[in-house]
Amino acid sequence: MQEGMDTAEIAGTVRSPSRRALGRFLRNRFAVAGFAVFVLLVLVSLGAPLLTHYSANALDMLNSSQGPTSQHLFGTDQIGRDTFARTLYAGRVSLAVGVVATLISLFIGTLLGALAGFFGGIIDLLVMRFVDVVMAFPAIIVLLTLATIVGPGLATTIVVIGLVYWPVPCRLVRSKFLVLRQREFIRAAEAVGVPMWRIILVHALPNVVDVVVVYGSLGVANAILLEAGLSFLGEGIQPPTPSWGNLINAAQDISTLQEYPWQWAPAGIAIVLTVLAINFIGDGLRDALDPRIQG
Amino acid sequence: MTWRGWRTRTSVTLTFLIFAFIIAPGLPVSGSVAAGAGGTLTGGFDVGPSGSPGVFNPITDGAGYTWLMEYFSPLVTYNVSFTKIQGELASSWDISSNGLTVTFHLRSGVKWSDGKPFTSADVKYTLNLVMNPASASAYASRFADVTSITTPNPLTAVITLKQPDAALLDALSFVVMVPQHQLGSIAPKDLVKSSIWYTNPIGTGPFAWDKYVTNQYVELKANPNYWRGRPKLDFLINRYFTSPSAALIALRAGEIQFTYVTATDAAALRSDTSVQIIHAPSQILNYLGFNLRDPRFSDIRVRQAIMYAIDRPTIVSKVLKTGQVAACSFSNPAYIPSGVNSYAFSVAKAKALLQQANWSHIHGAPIQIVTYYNDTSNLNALAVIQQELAQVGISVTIRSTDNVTYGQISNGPNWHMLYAGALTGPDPDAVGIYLLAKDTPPNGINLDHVNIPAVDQGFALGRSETDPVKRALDYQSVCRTINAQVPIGPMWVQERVGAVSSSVKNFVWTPAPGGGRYYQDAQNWSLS
Amino acid sequence: MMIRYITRRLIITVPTLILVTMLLYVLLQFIPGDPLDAYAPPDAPISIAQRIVLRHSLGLDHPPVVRYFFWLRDTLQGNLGLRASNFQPVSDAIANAIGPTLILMGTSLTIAIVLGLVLGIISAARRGSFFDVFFTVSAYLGISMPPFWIGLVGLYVFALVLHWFPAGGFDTPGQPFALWDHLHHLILPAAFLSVFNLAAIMRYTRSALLEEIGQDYIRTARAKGVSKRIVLSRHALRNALLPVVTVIGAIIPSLLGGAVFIESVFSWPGMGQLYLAGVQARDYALVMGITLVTAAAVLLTNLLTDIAYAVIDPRIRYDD
Repeated sequence: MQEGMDTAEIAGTVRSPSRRALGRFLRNRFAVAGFAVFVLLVLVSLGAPLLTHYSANALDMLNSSQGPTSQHLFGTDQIGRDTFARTLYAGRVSLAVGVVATLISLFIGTLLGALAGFFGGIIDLLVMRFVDVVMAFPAIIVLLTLATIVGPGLATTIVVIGLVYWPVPCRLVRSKFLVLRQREFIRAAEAVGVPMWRIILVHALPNVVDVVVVYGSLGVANAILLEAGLSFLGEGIQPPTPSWGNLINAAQDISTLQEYPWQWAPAGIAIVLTVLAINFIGDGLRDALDPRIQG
Repeated sequence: MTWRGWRTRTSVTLTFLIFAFIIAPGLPVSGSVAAGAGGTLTGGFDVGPSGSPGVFNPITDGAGYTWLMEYFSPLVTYNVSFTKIQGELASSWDISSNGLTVTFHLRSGVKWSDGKPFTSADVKYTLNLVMNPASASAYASRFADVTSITTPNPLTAVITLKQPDAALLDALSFVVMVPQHQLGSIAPKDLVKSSIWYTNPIGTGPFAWDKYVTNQYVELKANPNYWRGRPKLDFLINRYFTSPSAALIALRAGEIQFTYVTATDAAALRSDTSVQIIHAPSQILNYLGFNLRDPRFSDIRVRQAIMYAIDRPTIVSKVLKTGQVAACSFSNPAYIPSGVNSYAFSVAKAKALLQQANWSHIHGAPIQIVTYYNDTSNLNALAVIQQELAQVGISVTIRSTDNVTYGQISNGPNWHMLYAGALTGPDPDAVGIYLLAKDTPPNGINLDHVNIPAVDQGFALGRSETDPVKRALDYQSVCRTINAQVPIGPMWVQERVGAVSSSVKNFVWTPAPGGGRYYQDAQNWSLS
Repeated sequence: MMIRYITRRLIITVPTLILVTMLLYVLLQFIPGDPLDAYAPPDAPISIAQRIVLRHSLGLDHPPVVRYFFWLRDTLQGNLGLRASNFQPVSDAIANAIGPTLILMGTSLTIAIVLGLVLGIISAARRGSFFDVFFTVSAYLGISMPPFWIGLVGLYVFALVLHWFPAGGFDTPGQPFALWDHLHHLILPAAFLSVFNLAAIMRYTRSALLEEIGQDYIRTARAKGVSKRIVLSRHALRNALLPVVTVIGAIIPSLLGGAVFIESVFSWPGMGQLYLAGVQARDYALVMGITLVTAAAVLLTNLLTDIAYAVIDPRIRYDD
């Protein structure tokens, strides 16, 4: 496997039985656990109405700020809303924002980063100056403007976070491509006449999975928390709709922090679980897709 | 004045900025505090909704008075319970029998912090400045009836009016005296932009300016020329905090001795013996604004139904934890007549009124309540309102936004409902700006477009009535009208809370809209 | 060749900066409100007369397009305008804030880079070990809490309960300069600010190292009996630096422009707080001024990053 590795690699990837990759993924216990937790989180938030008969916003002022009981698993908040139900429903907002916004920025970033890094020269120069402009732009201004034009809400939040954060993955992917395009196996593929799109997609792209995975898991956490920050500025998801971020942010006074941990801790744990799960899935995916590790 | 005139000697070039970015050292701050017997009191005097950190021009500023009053003083001020106006730089005043001439007798021996004497010329200068639109004064409109200010001698100032103005003294409690000898040579329009307000302001308060460390703190030192005698404290420091919770931690850690605290945080402080809690009504009415141009809200039955549908006493006691249910636009009991409708919570009454108004046919799209409040307890109160309105068939959504966006939306034509705060006093005349037909946007902030002749007339009578008892009756009739017709939906008046370390003696503080328009007795504050 | 590339990049910087400020100016016009709406609390707004005077003093009575060119002209002459709230020159406000921000940023970035690299290397070298899992979980714990909230908890624990550090601020007000006092105030916000970046650098280091370790030249070296430590430090680390350098390059301008939440909770008088105040008050001159500084920083760090690529990996060329 030493000499002629590059052609072997091409051949290997082209045949690339996804079945084998799947096998490698399934043998990674962290990855499988991460996947299971993630699916569970999604199911639990989508299936919230099946798991609790409380709605996210129904209030009961006579039973406010209660500790956990058999009726209220995570207790109630200051106006008697069921924290368990709120945490479940909040998952819908937070998972959507975290995952979709990150996918948007990854898609734009990877696409442009690959083009810039692979073609170099004037294309690189132009794409990267576009990156400079977007990076130089204060995200908050973009958000306030968009929220004004189309109104605040879930879709606005997702789109804005996605549109603002793509330059980082773009620069990451480009930096890998700058090296990749000089590598023999890419040169070889070019020489054999493999079409450009195929080289990028099939031969080069699997090599950037590592940065994409790390960005993905960090980006999901970032997006989930950013959503809460935007709500705080009055332009994100509007109250009383819960999200994990604003459930935690509601505990911004010392007394809630000290005396009512169940009002914020479940949301915090949910974010940690989500991010860890995505990270382990990503790690597993990277190993499974790594073109060098064969069976 | 064009942009060309904006070049300042302190401006740096962009290159220089980038250069500074590379080499800038830590910009160390040199202190100047000499250890004195009186010590230093540090507080978060601009924390909370009445604060105005980093803004020092008392002519244009509508808030931050708690701090400004430490080094400036007005002619007259309120007592700490806001029940009467007392002399500050004026020892007394006479009002002519026709109410058109008010003569102020100034205290003798009052000196500016630079040692120069304070005279009636300063009074005339200050009032003329405030009345001059070029100074961008926040209070010019309050002096619209003043025709002249004369100074028969250095200790007498006479204000002549077009018509009697019962709210004149209240208006004067906003106006701190500024020195003619320092500012007189500067054109009012340049004073707006002057750096003098944060480099070397001269006042007549118990403390004198020492320095402003940008975005960090302001330091005042004892004013040896203060007419009541030199304060017991040597220094007074106003530290800036963005977060009230962080200020509270600094207080409990012993780094500061005073700060505003949120009602929620105050609840957790009750067990802490090292901290004393001061709470009093905010004098801010929280109300539901109705866009009266919207046919749904021009029907009085809909507005009344909304009042019946909201369980205000329970929200006050369970959600807000402090405060009082409001009857109308005033909070002072003197202006609230007996027998006003309490709109006791009644789903049945609300539904009946809505049915009469044919609500099921006219309800239209969901109603949006816009607010600039983004704190947990007000948003919780709104969540309760949302649920309770849903119970009677009114579907509402909530939009919590920032002050500026709120201002833009509420001044425009397209909003449905607002949840906002309004001044309720201390003088009832101050409430007019929210309710008078002449104050309808763009001329003022009657955002609901209230147009009730009885209300306009009541305020006009009250303003020109100098007999306090008759005046109270004028405002009581306004209150009765507001209560019955609900052009705004009065919700509650919350309390605001301050916390002071028990090591501070003789400390005086109370919440006030914009802060501080009361006698603070700061020269007697001391540390044990 | 590199010199030509750098020159070209530096020349493009100027039109890019102008483009950024122009776009920003356009967007600012769409945001509702102007500085006058922020001048007083909404429960006691300012009068029409006051509005007109202030508008004029701030130069807001010109049409937006004209205002932009006035701004551009003044900026080129080194005058960034006046703050709307107190008419302080924007350049003074930025000069006051940039020092504290650089100190905070420099300290936290140093912590993040050193610890991030070390922990990342350990995690990669001992993949799947207890350390690896422990560092991974801790890193994600650290980035899963809102920064403002975690800062408040930190303030509560370390300033109030333990009394180890002061409760925010740049130094003790009213005291003469003391280095120790400054450091004492710096440690807590710097530590909390470094959490997210530390986690990011650590994860990218780990991932890039694992990627490199899988490469055949490393396997060859290992097969030839070169020790794991030497392989890691001499060969793998150098190549793994690419994404790490990219991430650090992205962190620097973002830190400069605003550790908004950490600065707020720790009352740190830096650029982030200034920027937030500027946005909330629709203080156009302030927002434009700060953006100009951060945009310049973005362009510079991105250029430096690109140069660093070529230094790290001579195969990288920009000129074809």
